[in-house]
Amino acid sequence: MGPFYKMGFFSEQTGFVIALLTGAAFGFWLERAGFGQSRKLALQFYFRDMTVLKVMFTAIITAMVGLLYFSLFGWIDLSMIYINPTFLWAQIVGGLVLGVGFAIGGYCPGTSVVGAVTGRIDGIVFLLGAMSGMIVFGEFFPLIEKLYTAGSMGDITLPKYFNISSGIVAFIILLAAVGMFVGGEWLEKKFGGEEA
Amino acid sequence: MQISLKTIGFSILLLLGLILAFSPLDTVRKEQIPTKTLLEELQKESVYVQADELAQWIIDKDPGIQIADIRSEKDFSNYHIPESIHIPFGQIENIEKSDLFDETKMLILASNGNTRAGQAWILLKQLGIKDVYILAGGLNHWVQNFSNPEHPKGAYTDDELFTYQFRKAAGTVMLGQTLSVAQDNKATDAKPKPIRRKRKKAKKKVDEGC
Repeated sequence: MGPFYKMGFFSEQTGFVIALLTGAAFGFWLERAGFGQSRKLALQFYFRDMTVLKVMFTAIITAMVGLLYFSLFGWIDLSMIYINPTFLWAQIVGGLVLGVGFAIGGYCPGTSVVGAVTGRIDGIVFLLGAMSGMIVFGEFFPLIEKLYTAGSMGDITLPKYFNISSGIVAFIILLAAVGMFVGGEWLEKKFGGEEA
Repeated sequence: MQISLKTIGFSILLLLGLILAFSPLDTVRKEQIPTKTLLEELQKESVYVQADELAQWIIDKDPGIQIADIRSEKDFSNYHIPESIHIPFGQIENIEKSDLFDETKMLILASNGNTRAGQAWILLKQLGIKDVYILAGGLNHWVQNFSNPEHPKGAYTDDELFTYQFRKAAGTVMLGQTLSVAQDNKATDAKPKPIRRKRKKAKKKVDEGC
């Protein structure tokens, strides 16, 4: 059994409706987690509030463990799931740009929308900034085209790259996640507490 | 000593991970897709790559594609699509062992028509290769498309005219030297239209992000 879309359970149009509902739910829970406030998000970078890290890693390991167990039980065919192709250098540079923007603006793209629709002015400004950034990117694309595809590695995954079983990779990531939870809380204790 | 909820959670998590680490995950994964499902999928347009689309990728030197010519040795040496590799139909099931084959790239099968390529497509899908497509109409259509493109008739749109001009201009490259000699004069005049950059086949998936 593959993902519903690939199995042809619903058409592209229905897919859009489902995407809209999923997106709305995603936004709702981001807001409920407090991710509509740039203050809370920015505290992450001062090690005072590691909620973002914890929430994101929870999402990652939940999805990972869930999918792998489903695959183990034969409920889902993982080979049918779309894998984002890797462009190593492009993604390292892109990640750094995103990180700097995140630290300066206090939002990442998704949460800025959440912030904007809940009426936060900084969220609206951030969103406008992101959009003008897209225009700049589009206009300057020929200049950075080389970078855009730098380090192309195709649909590579960690188990494939290192040639170890996906179970072992999953276990290592779980260990890393637990380490990060513990480490995050330690950092929170050390640097924590809201300051004026 | 009191055991906190967090410790219990972490222990369960690590236990789940340990089970995964020793489970036969990678052997379970390659489940055969039923032939019936594949036959149904073969009817869909999304399985086919149009000649113009492929020509554009070749011109763009798209690093993410590879073209496998599954016709006979004779046909292949006679003429083949630029950049294509030769894997005869009879050896298609060994494709994964071939040095020429790169599983991270999108594979496009080219035969004379659609039938052979369709059979190869089903075979490869069942072998668990997922990124496989078929050149619509095969080499027959390909040659026809670029050797003698039909000028749009009557009231035509800009798009139709562009397509015509593109085929005309791309023809020299796409058909190689053997066939281009006859139309050399015309072809040198025809300026290739500016290449409109197209990202690798939009997979109809939105990138995810936080």
